Parts: sequence; structure tokens; C-alpha cells
Amino acid sequence: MESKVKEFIESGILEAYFTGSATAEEEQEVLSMKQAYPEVQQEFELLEQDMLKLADLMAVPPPPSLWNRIEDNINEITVRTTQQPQPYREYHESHQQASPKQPGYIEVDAQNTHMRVHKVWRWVFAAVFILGKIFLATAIYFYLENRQAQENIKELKQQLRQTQQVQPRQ
Amino acid sequence: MKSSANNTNALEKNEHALRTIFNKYGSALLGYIVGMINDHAKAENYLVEIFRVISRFADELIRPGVNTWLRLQQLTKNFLYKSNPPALSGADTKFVASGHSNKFLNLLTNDQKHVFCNIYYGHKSIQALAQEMCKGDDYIKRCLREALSVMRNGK
Repeated sequence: MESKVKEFIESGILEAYFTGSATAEEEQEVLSMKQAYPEVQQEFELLEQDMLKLADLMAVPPPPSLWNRIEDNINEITVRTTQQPQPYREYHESHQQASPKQPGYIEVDAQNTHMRVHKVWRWVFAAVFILGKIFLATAIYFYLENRQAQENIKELKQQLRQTQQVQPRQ
Repeated sequence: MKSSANNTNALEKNEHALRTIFNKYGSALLGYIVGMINDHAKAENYLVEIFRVISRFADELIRPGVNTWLRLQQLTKNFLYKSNPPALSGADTKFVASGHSNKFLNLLTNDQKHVFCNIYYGHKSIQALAQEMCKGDDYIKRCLREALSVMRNGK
């Protein structure tokens, strides 16, 4: 049994584990052997400490400003993620364009000669157009009727005058 | 309301954990990255990015029973491999040895140095390295053990 443990320790599997190069099965084997054998547990802990010591010996002290950079970088993300979701609201295009700059004002483009209107005005304009046509037709109709009536009156007047001229002679 | 209070609490906890990790492992991590890419300025940028990644779960990394250094090392290796695969696809023993860790690496034989650099700094598996060197997995593991033993004892 002792030779099995010795063989296991000397196989280099613990070193593979601590350099992150062991396979998943090997990792499981290391953890179960560590639980089962105090010698493996001892070697495991020793190697864990030594790996950290080795990393410390090869360490490069970061400049004092580096922590501020890390903090700034993280705060940027924190600000973005802590924003609460806004309820959905439908904006008109003019509001959408105005809001990023001045939320209280509507941006007016003085150079633009075009204007945008709501779609409902299409039906209003159509109704006005049709009513206009009806009005024009009615006006023409009554104009012609009136002219006809005037001519009739003129004729009647002429007839009346002629009859008046004939009557005194009799 | 309760969930936002929990979020704030978790953020504060993570911030504290992150500061602890930076104080305890910041210089070791920077040394590890410099050893990998041999560029101090780039290494600092990578360190900032790595801390941004671990800021979401920093608290988990310092829980009792977690091998923090091993987890950080693996995270760093994976992050750098994803960001710049060619840099780690075959760790160049020469440039690693020419860096700040050369005093340790110079104690190793060529095979030990090659195995250590490719596994510790590089992203190669034992199997891939064994194939590359036309040796068995056991030989690579033994080389790694010997390399670490020499470096731990300084001889």
C-alpha cells in the first residue's frame, strides 16, 4: 500500500494537478487519494504552498495606479448593470431625436422645407377634397339654374310688354 | 426592492473579495502574465481585464477550500489563450527564459525547461506535449515533477 502511495506521489500527477494540466479523471483521482491517504494530503498541501511561493518569487509588483485602473474599469460595468429597466413607452420620432441632447426641448431643423403630419390627416384631406368637388358642382349647378331663370324672366317680361302694347289698340 | 438590496450587498462583497485577491495575488498574477507574454505594458492591460472578468465571482474564489491561486492561474491562462492564442499555443522557452524568471529556469535541463514552460505558461496538455516530444505521458509528468522540485529547492 505504501509503495502505491509513493508511486502515486512520484508519478507527477500532483504537479500536473497544480499546473492545471491534469485531466478531469486525474483531478478526481488526486482528490480521492488525498482524502484516503494522509501522506498524499501532506504532499498536496506542501505542493500547494510551494506553488504559491514559486509564484511569489517570480512576482512583478504592479504599479500603484493599477488598482485605480481596475476599479475604474469595474465601476464602468457596475454603472451599466445597476440601471433599472424602464417601462416601454412609444415616442414620436421628433421626441426620440430630441431626447439624447435636451430632454425638455424639441429640435427644429430650420433648413428642412418638409413637414411630417399624422396619418389621420390623409383621410381629413381626402374628405375636404371630395367636399370641395361637391361644393363646386353644386355652385355650377345653381349658377346655370340661375342664368336659366334670368333668361326665362327676360322672356316673360318681353312677352308681357308685347301684350300690353297690343291691348290699348283694341 | 429586496433584490436590488441583495445585488448591492453582493457587489460590495465581491468588491471586498476583489481587493483581497489583488493585495494577495496581484503581483504573482502580473509576474505570471509577464512570464507568458514577456511584455510588461500588455501584461498590465491583461491584468485589468482579468480582474474585470473575475469581479463577477471574486467572492467564490476566496471561499475556504478553494485553491485560489490555481483557479486564478487557470482563469488567466484561459483568458489569454482566448484573447491571443498564438502567444500561448507554443510557449517559447527561449523568451520565457530570457525574462525575469530565468534564474529559476536556468537550473533546469532542456527537457524540464521545455515541459515546465509549455505547461505552466503555455496552454499545452501533457498528452499534446508527449506527442510533440515523442515521449510517454509518464515521462512528461516526471519531467514536470523534477522541474518543480528543482525550482522549489533552488537546486
